[in-house]
Amino acid sequence: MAVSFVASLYGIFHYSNILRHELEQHGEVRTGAVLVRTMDARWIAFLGSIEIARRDGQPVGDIIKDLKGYVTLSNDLFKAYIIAAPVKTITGRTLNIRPVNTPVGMSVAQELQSIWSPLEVKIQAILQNGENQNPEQLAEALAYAQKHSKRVIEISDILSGEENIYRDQRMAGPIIMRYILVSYLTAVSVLLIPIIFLMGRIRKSNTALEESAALLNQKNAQLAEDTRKIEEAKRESDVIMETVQEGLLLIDVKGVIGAQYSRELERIFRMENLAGFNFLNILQRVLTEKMYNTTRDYLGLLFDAKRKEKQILKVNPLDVVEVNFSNPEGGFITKYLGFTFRRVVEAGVVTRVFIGVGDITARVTLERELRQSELKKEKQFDLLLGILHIEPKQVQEFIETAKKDLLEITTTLRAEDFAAASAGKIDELRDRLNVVFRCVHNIKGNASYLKLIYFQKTADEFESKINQLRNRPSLTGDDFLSIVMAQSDLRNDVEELDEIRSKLGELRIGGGDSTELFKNSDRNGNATQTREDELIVGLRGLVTDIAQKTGKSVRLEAKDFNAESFRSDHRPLVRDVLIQLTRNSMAHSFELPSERTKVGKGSEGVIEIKPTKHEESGLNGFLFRDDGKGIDIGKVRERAISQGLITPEDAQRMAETELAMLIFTPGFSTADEVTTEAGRGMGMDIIKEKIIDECGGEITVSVEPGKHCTFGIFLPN
Amino acid sequence: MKLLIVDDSTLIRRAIERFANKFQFDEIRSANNGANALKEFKSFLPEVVTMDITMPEMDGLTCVEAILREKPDVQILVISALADKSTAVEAIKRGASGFLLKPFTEETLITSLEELFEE
Repeated sequence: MAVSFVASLYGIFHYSNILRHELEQHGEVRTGAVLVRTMDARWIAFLGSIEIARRDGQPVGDIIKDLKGYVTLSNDLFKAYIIAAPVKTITGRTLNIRPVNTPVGMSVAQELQSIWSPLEVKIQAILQNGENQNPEQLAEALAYAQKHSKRVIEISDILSGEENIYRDQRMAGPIIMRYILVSYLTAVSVLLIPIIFLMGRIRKSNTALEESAALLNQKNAQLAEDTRKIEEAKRESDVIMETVQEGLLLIDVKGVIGAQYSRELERIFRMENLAGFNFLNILQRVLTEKMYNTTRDYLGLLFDAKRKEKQILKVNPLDVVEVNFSNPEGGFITKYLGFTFRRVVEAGVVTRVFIGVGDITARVTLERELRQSELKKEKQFDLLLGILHIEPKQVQEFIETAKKDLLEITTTLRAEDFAAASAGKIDELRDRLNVVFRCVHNIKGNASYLKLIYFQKTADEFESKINQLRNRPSLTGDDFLSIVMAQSDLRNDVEELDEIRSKLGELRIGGGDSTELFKNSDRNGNATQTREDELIVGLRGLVTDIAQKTGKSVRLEAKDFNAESFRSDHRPLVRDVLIQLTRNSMAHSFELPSERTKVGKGSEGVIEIKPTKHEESGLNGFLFRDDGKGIDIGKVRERAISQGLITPEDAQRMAETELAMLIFTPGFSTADEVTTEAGRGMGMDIIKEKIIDECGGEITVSVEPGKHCTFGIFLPN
Repeated sequence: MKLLIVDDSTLIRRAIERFANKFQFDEIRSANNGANALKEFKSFLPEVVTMDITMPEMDGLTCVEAILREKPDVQILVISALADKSTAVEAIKRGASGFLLKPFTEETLITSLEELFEE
C-alpha cells in the first residue's frame, strides 16, 4: 500500500509537471495568436510611415530597420503554427509555439502563410529599395495588407479558439494519459525492486508498519481537512475576484499574468482567459508606443529591488492614461484607465507585482467637462465685459457682419472640394485662402473698432494661421483643416456673443431706459436720431488707440460727415471702409511727431473726412484725406515689380496715380512688418471689391508724396 | 552632509537653497548647467544633488548618469517642470533617487529630500 501511495505521489508530481508545461505552452500559443492579430496592423503602419516619410523627403532607414524585425517575426511566427518552433518577439521574449493541431487550426495556419507569402515578396522589394522608395510599390503592398487585414484578425481569433479546444483534447486525451501511465509504471517498478528486498524485514516489524499506517491515515485525514480549508478559502477568494469592481492581477518578472485575477479585468480589456498572457502585450495593443515604452521601463523599475518603491510609485505613468480599443463596428473607443502598483517581495526579491486597474472614464470626462464649462464661463464673462461699453446696435451690427463673413468663409471652405483638390490646383486653393483672409480681416477690423479685444485677438490668431499657409510652397486640402477648425471656433464665439447680447438686451429693456435704442436697431436702419456721429466717435477712439500704441499724434475732423446720407444697406460698408482707411493711414501714412516737425509739418497729423459728390458720375460719397507722408510710390513700384504685378518697363510708363491704384491689388502690401494694425496686404483690395465690384461705386486716389493722400469713395444713391 | 544644487535659473537655485536650509546641510554649492555641475561635483563630492533637466551644456539626465559614475551612492533628486510622465520614469531609470515636479513649495521640497533617505 505504501508503495502504491508513494508511486501515485510521484505520478501526480510528474503529472502536475506535465500539466504545468501544457498550460505554459497553451498560454504562449495563445499569446502568439494575439501577436498574429497585431501583425497586419504593424505592416500597414510601417508601410504607411515609409510612404509619409518618402512624401516628406525624410530618410526611411530607421523605419526599414524596424520593419525588417517584423518581417522576421512574421516569418517565424506563422511558420511555428505549421512546424513547432521557438519564436523571439520584438521585446526579446521567446514564445514556444506549436501547431494548433485541429483540422480548422491547421487550415487557418496554412491560409495565414498563403496571405503572408505574397506580401513578404512585396515588402522584401520595398526593403531592397532603401532610400529610393517607389510610391506604386508602397501603395500596392499597403492595399494588399489592408485587403487582408480583416481576415488576419479572424484567423487570430480562430487560432485562439481552436487552441482552447486543442488544449482540452490534449488534457483529456491519450497523450496526457500515456504520459501519466508511463510515469506511474516507471515509478512503481523503480520503487518495487528495493521494496521486495525490504519485505523480509518489514514482516518482522509488522507492528512498526501498523504504526506508520496509522500515522499515515492521520496525515491523510489532516491533509483532507487542510484541503477542505484551502478549498473554502479558494471559494471565498473566487467570490471576491468575481465581484470586485476593479481589475486585480499579479504579474511575474516576465510580465505574465497569474492564474488568479478579478473578472473585471476581462471586462476592462475586453478579453477572456487572461491567465498566462503577457500583460505588456495586452497593454501594447491599447497604449501609444511612447506610453508603452515608458510602461515597460516602469515595470522594470518595479521589479528592481534596489530602487525604492515609494519613489517609483510616485512617478506612476499610468495613474490616468488614455487607451484606445478597436470598436467592432469600426473606429476606436477611447477610455481612461487608472492603474496602481504594489511590489510583492519574497526574501528580498521582487517576485511579482500586484496591479489594480479601474475604468475611470466617467471621472475623467466629468473633470474635463467641469474644466470646459469653467473656461466657457470665464469667456462669457469676458465677452460680457467687452460689450457693456458698446451701444447695443453696434454690437448687433458687428454680429451681423461677422455672421455674413463667416458664411462666406463656410462657402469657400467646403470640405468636399478640398478632398478633390490636388497640388495641381494650387492657385485655386490660394485664391480661396485670400477670400478667407479678407473675411477674417474684416471681422478683426470691426472688432478693433468696437474694442472687442477678445474677437480682435481671436481673429488675429486666425489670420496668423492663414498666413502660415500662404507662405507654404505647396498646399493640399488637408492643410485647410486648421482653418476650418478656427472658423468653427470663431462661429461659436459669435453665436455666444449673440446669446449674451440678446440676454443683455432683455435686461436693458427690462430696465426700461434703453428701449428706444432697440426699436431703432431694426435691419432697415430707419434710425434717425442722434446717430450720425456715432461712427465718427468710434473712429476717433480707434485713432486714439493706435496713436497711443505707435507713439503718433493724430486728430480726426469730420464735422459735416453724416452716415445717414448713404443708403441704409450701404452703411455697414461705409463703416468698414472708414475703419480700414483709418487703420491704413495710422499704420502707413502718418509719421512720428518728431519726423513731422523735421519736414516742417505740425506735430499733430490730421485725418479729414468730408462729404462730396463725384465730379463726373454725380455719385454720393466722401473724401478721406490724411496729411501724412501718403503712399510711398517708390516702395509701391518696387514691391509691385518684385511681386510680379508689373514689369520694370510698365513701372517707367505708369503715372503716380496709376501706381497708387496698385495698392488695391489682392495680396499687396508695403508695410515692412506685419502688425495687428495693418500690413498684411489685405484691406485695400476688399475695399475695391466691395465698392466697385459689388455695389457699382467708384474709388479715386490722389497722392502728393510726403504731403498728403486722399481717397474718394462713392456709392450709388 | 553636503548639497549640490544644479539649475540654470538663479531664482530656482536660491529658492532651493533657502528651503533646504531647514535641513542643516554642512555646505551648499550650486551649478548652472550639467557640465559645471559635473566639474563642481568632482571636487565637492556631496551626498545629495538636486538636478534640473532642461539646461544648456549637458542636460540633467546625462549629468545624473555622469555623477553616478563618479559616486554610485549619491542621492539625486530630479526637479523638473516637464510634466511628461515619461520624463519622470526616465529620470528614475537613469538612476535618480526621486523626482519632484516644478513648481514646488518648501513643503514638497523638504518631503522629497527626506524621502531620499527613507528606507
